[in-house]
Amino acid sequence: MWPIIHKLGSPKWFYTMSGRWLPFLWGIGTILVVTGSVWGLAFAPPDYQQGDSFRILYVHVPAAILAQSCFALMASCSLIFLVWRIKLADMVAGAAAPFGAAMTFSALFSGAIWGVPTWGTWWVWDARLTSMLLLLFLYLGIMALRGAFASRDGGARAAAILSLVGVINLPIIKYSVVWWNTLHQGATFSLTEKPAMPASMWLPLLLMVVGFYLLFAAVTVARTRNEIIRRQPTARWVRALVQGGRNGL
Amino acid sequence: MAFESLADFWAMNGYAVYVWPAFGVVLGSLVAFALYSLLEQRRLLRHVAALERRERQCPTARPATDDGETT
Repeated sequence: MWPIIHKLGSPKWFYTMSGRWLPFLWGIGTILVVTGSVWGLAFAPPDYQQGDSFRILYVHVPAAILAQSCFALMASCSLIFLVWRIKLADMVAGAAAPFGAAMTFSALFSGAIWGVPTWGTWWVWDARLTSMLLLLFLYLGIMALRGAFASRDGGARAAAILSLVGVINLPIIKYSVVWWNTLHQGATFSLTEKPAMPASMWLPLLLMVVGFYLLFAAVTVARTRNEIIRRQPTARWVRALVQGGRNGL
Repeated sequence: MAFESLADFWAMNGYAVYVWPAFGVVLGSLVAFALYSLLEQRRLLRHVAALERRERQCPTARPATDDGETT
């Protein structure tokens, strides 16, 4: 058990292994997002009530899903870091945070734009919108806290603790449309029920969601690799990497 | 295609001002993260190469370590 954990937590092992996976994550993720965008924008049938404005769904929903998944990953890594002191977990948490903040902002921005033609307003203080805004502030707070300490370890621990506290917001976001009477609609999809739209509408959305997940993985892995080099620029294996010309793109 | 003409597609049947900015911001942020992480990697690897060159010219300055951890 312990040798495996030790190996998984080794930056060198992570760098070598992830270098093999990274091109596929970038490649397949890009193909899925490009295909899903073209399909969703040009070929999916228009909504019978919303017309072509419903196409915002194809970026709004994946961004909102990723905003929450990214927070869940960040919190899991924070727990691993706080309990087992594995530095790699902290590097992953730090690498994921800005992307999560960008996805939260994207979901709020695309939702606000979508609200104008469909709700007649770009913002209401309903439970779903407010809890997503809180998620954005949590991300920004976690990123600021990480940089606000003189020692790297102090910043990492403070950011990890705030990440764990912030997890309470995830179920609130998910069930906000159930617990409160919100302007935002309920969940469009669930894992247990048949989708309420035709396949020509939900298939491109599925491609987008899977594509966003792959690109999220690619960005997080790439940023973690950068952080590894930033922290150990004089390690022998990093030297060998540069000298061998194997950049591991 | 769900549109009569290419002009209709770009106009999104009147919803162009909503649909295109939404796609632009979300997909644009994905592209920005991809480009930034690749540029950052190039910069870091160049930095490591420069450190290594400097050390070769002045061997006592900063020797390589096993883990290379800096604090």
